[in-house]
Amino acid sequence: MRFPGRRSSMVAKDRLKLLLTSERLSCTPQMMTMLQNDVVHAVNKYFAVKEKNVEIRYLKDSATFLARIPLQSDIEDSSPGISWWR
Amino acid sequence: MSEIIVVTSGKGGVGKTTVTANIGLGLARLNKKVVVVDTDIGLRNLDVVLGLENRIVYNLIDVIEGSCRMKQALIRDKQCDNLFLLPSAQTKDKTAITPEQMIKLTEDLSEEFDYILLDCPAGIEQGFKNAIAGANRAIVVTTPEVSAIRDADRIIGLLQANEMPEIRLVINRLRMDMIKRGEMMSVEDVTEILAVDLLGAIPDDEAVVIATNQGEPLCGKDSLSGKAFENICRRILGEEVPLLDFTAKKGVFKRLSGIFRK
Repeated sequence: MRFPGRRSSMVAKDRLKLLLTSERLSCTPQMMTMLQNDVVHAVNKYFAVKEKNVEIRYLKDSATFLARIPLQSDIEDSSPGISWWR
Repeated sequence: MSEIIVVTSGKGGVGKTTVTANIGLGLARLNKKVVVVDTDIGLRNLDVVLGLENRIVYNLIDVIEGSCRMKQALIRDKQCDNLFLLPSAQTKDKTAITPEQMIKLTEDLSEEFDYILLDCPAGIEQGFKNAIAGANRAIVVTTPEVSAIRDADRIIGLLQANEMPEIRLVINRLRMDMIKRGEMMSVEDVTEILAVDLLGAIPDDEAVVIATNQGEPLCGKDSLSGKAFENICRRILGEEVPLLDFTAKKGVFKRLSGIFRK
């Protein structure tokens, strides 16, 4: 998920988000990566996901997972047959 | 009622003591009666940052054990009459006092002072527990580095678990040139990751090193960091002060080159 040309501040931010999420939940960073991969995999069955931009965060106050899953393109192009609600 | 603020970070070397000294001086300059307490027993440093190391007679442990009166241990600052230091002991260790004794100490101090700043030792052990026991506000100091942010997150978790009423963040040693190049996390990046309210941001400034060399904190003086510390103090007093633009005060040439870079 990392790219050699990426700015180091973004690399640091992504590493920290993953690390802190796993530490707040007291599970391993590997588990978090696996969870993220599973979520991407699940959504990918239906829509083309921009995998490198997927982000899963844990909100401590409300005990909530927040997943941001950007798609490759607008849903109407990528998944014909599924009517989108706006 | 006086404010009892603990300055903490988890990781060592991020600038807790410098931040404590400067906020202490800044609040005192804004006409508050302030005491800065060094709770790092065995590794005291706040005295040298304030340039008061030659005036120590009694310390925190002496006060707690009753070997002297509070007034005898308090040292008045060289720069500001409203600022006092309660130094730590150099010969004992963190287990020499208990959280209950710290609570008692801060209660005694709150009769005399508007603001009590507690400089917390690094780590999450006894010294940390002692320092946070009496506090009703916490300032978490971090730098834009992965190690410091990770430890800050841990500390924030512990403060929340101890039901600290208010936790605010100070980001220290920011380098605008690196942030612009994308090689350092910005203020926004760090606050987003840690998800606590921002109290202030301090640029990486050689004036801070010089001030520490001389034992004279620079809060309020004519440097970017001095101004940044002053702003933090105003925010503590409840004023709305916008974040300082670290790039602004650089002279015409650099400002011009900044425009062209965009």
